Amino acid sequence: MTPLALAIGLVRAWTHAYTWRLEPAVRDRRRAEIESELWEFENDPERGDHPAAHMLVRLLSGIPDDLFWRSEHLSHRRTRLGTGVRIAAWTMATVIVFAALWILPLMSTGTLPPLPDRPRVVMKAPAPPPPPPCAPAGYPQFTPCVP
Amino acid sequence: MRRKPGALVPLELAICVCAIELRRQEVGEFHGYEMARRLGDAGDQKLLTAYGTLYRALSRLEQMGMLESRWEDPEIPARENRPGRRLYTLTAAGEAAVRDAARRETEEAAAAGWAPGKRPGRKAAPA
Repeated sequence: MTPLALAIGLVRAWTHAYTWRLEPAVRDRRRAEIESELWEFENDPERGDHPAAHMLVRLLSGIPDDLFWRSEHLSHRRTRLGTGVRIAAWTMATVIVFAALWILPLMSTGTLPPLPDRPRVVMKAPAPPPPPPCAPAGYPQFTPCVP
Repeated sequence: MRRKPGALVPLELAICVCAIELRRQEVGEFHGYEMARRLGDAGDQKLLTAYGTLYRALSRLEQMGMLESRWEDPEIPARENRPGRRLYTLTAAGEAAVRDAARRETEEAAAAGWAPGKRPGRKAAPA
């Protein structure tokens, strides 16, 4: 998965999270607008360098407005699950913030450090078991055997 | 953000100003990404406006009657194999709000002896 695909996935996941349990018309409109925006950005030849980082920064800096927007729409339609949804939205926001904080430094690493020297692996087989004692005369013998 | 009823925050005003600019270029309708690009170009910013900030501002402007919006004809995105765009248009109320803001800025500047758009301690408002 490329960083851009990952960033698109995060934006999509967050949009689904903060529009969850809103009026279907409001929810679908916001999701469709973000979907269109993602497509336009992905297909914009002038989108610039580091599109994934750009997308993540836009996502992160817009989270407070997303939550305010959600609360504006929820105030019209309070549900019994309002608190639960709010907690879920904040949890999701926190997860996305931490995921982005983890991903951004990974993407900003320009060159990887040199690989360490190839390890020397020495295979040591255990010593062979001592030969068995020789069987009495008339019995089949193991060779070699200890008389 | 707390605001006076009917007053526009800087981003909303900037959206209306960009919409007027687009109309001058004979582009009557715009979609969210196009507006984000325009705002970025106007502010000389590399980063585009955040998704949440932009679409919340567009939504508020629409609620205030300064923008109108519609989905584009579904045949167009189907033909171009892309998601449909929500197209926004500036209304007469939006244009009036921009004129009012510009007038207020000029009056404040005249009263305080500043050049319009050069108010100290504040980013220049769009003309």
